[in-house]
Amino acid sequence: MDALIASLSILTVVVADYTRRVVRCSSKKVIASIFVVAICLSGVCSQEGNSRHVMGERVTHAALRAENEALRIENEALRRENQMLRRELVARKGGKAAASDGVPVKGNAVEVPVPQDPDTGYWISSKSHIRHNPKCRSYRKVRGRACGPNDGKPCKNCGG
Amino acid sequence: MRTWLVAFMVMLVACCVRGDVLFMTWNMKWFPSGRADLRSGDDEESATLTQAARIVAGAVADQTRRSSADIVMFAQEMRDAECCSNLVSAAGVKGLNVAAVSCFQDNSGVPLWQQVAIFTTLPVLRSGYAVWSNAEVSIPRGFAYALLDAGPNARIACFSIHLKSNFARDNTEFENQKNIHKREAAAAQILAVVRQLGEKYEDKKLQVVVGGDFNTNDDDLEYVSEATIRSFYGAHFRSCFRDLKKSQKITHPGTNGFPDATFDYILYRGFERIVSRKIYQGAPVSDHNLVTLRLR
Ligand SMILES: [Zn+2]
Repeated sequence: MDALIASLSILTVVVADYTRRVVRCSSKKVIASIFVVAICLSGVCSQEGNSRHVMGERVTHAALRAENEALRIENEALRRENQMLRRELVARKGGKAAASDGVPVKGNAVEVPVPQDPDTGYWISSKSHIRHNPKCRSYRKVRGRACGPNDGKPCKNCGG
Repeated sequence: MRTWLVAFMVMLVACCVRGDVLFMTWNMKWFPSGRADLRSGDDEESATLTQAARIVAGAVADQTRRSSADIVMFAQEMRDAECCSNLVSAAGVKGLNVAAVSCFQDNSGVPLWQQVAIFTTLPVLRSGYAVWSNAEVSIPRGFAYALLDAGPNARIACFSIHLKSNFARDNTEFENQKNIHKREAAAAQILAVVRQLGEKYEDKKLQVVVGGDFNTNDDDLEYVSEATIRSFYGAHFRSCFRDLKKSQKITHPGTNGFPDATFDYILYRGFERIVSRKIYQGAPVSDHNLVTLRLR
C-alpha cells in the first residue's frame, strides 16, 4: 500500500507540472487539488485491500481473523467434549473384554523367544477354532496353535 | 604432521556436524503372505519378500543418492521377528538392523501376525514393545520403541504404531466412536511415554519420531472430531505432510469404492527441518504406500 501512495505522489507531481505548463494556472492550486484526489483514492484502495464482501456485507480482514480464531477455539472445545463423551460412552456401554492389557513394557523385543508349538498332530485356528490334521492344507498354515484331538470344532475337509 | 592435523580436523568436524536421518514407514499388509492369518506357499512368500526388499532398497537409494543419511524404518503388519530379519537381509542396506519387533498376542496367548517393528542403522540404546493399556476398553496391538544414539548428547526416541482400524462389526455409530476412542487412548499413551522420556533426558537433546499406520487423518470429515493426530500437534509434533494438498499425500490408494486416503504418518519433534519427503508405491506388496521423510 505504501508503494501505491508513493507512486501516486510521483504521478501527482508529474501531472501537476504538465497541467501548469498547458493550462498556465497556479501550480500550487493544481498540486493541492490533485493531492486531495490522490489521498482520497489511496484511502479507498487501502479500504478495499483490507476488506471483502461476505454475503453482500463488507467485512474487514481483522474481523475475519477474529472470527476465524473464535471458530478455532470453539472447534477445539467441541473436539475435547467429543473425546470426553466417547470415553464415557465406551466405559458405560462398551465393557472390557478380558485382554492382554496391563502387560509391562518389555525390553529388547528382538530377543523375546517365539513359543515353539509341539507336534501333537492337531492344529487349531485361533480365529475360527477349527481343528485340522496334517493331511489338511490348513494345518500349520492358519494362525493358531498345536492342540489335542478333541479341541475346537473338527474341520469339514480333513475331519480334524 | 600436517596431514595428521588435517585428518584430525576432518574427524572433529564429522563428529560435531550431525547428518540427516531418513525415516520411513510402511504398513506391509500381513507380510509376507499378504493374507490375514494365513501363510502362503514358500515360493509366493519368497517372491513377496524380494519385491518388498526391492521397494525398500530403492527408496533408500533414491533418498540417499546425493548424500548419505542414517536410516530408521517403521514397519507394520509383520508376521514375526523372523520375517523382519529376512526383509532387512534381503534389502541389503548397509548397516540396517532390526532394532525392535513386537510380539503381541491374542487372548489365548497365540502371537498375532500383525506385529510392528523398527529397523535402523543407528546404535540402539534401548528397545522393546508394549501393549496398549486402557482401563475402559481393550485396544488391539501396541507399540514398538527404540531409543537411538544419534551422536554426542543426542537421542532419538522412535515409536512404530498401528492404531485401531475403522472396521466396525455391526456398523453402528457406537462402534465407530469406540474405534476413535481406541486411537485417541493409544495416542495419549505414547504422549505419556514421551513426557516421561523428556523428564529422564532433560539434559540431553531428545528428538522424538512416531511413525506408522494411524488409520485416521486430519483432512477427512469423518475424523473431524477425532483428537488422535491433533493431540500430537498439541505436544509440538509436526507432520511429514505439513502444507501438502490432499492429492499429494495419498498413502492408501482407494479401492472397491473407498476413496484415496492418508493413513500413514511420520510425526516428529525436535528436528531443524524437512530435507525431503516422498511417497513410494507399495503395490504389489501392500495396499499401503511407503512414506519417507528425510529430517535434519
Ligand atoms: Zn482341515
